[in-house]
Amino acid sequence: MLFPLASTRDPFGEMRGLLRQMDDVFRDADRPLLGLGAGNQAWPQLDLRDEGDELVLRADVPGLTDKDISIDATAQGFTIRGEKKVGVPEGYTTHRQERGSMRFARSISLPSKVDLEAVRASVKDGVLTIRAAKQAEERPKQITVKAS
Amino acid sequence: MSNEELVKREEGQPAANESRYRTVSPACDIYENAEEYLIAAEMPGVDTDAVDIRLDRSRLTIGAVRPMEGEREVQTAYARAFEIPDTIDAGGIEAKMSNGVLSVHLPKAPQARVRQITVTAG
Repeated sequence: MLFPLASTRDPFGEMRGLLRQMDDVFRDADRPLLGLGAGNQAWPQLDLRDEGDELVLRADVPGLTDKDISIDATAQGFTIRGEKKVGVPEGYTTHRQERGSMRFARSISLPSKVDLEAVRASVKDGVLTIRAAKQAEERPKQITVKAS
Repeated sequence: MSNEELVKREEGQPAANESRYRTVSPACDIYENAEEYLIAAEMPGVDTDAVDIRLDRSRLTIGAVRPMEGEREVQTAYARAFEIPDTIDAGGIEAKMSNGVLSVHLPKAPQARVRQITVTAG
């Protein structure tokens, strides 16, 4: 039988587990309360970054391919939808199952309007990346300071 | 950061470079069939080359530092340790990454496999 550490052989394992759970509580404290996914955190977890001319959204979607994900885009926001399927491989029995199957939908509003013709999405190594060019009037402009 | 450091972090011992890494314990499934154990771990953002798997006696550790695009103050590192039975054929362990999910195949030593014994009428 195969089992993760922090168990009977290690008298401090349980204590560490508790400490870790406490850490998790504090780490989760700043997450949004709505948009419930796996457990009590929104899924997929994502970052949205402003890279000047572009907004870049990256979402963790382990095990998913392009076929499992669809994106609805408007100039103000994205909705990511899909299904995560985790099945027991054929002929195996399960000892531990932490990865879950789920249908998901998560909506994100964008801090500036984007050009819908210039939204590109790709998925690699279980990370979905959406790049969207900002509409021209929303892009940062450099203003040269002149001596007077 | 070495794999051992990653595992220490997972077990709650602060590392010297505390502020630079956020250690994540990846969600894992563990399966078994007659020939092997199979671990599946969710490690999005990591490709095959970045994964470090070690077996030290009965302790299997998996770890990886996730490469991050753009400037980050804190990097993400994955780490998890398992106690495995001594009936594993250590030389036959294989791993691969697929779409951000690591699969580790741990073949059972031949003497540990379940054999089907045919009962003959006597």
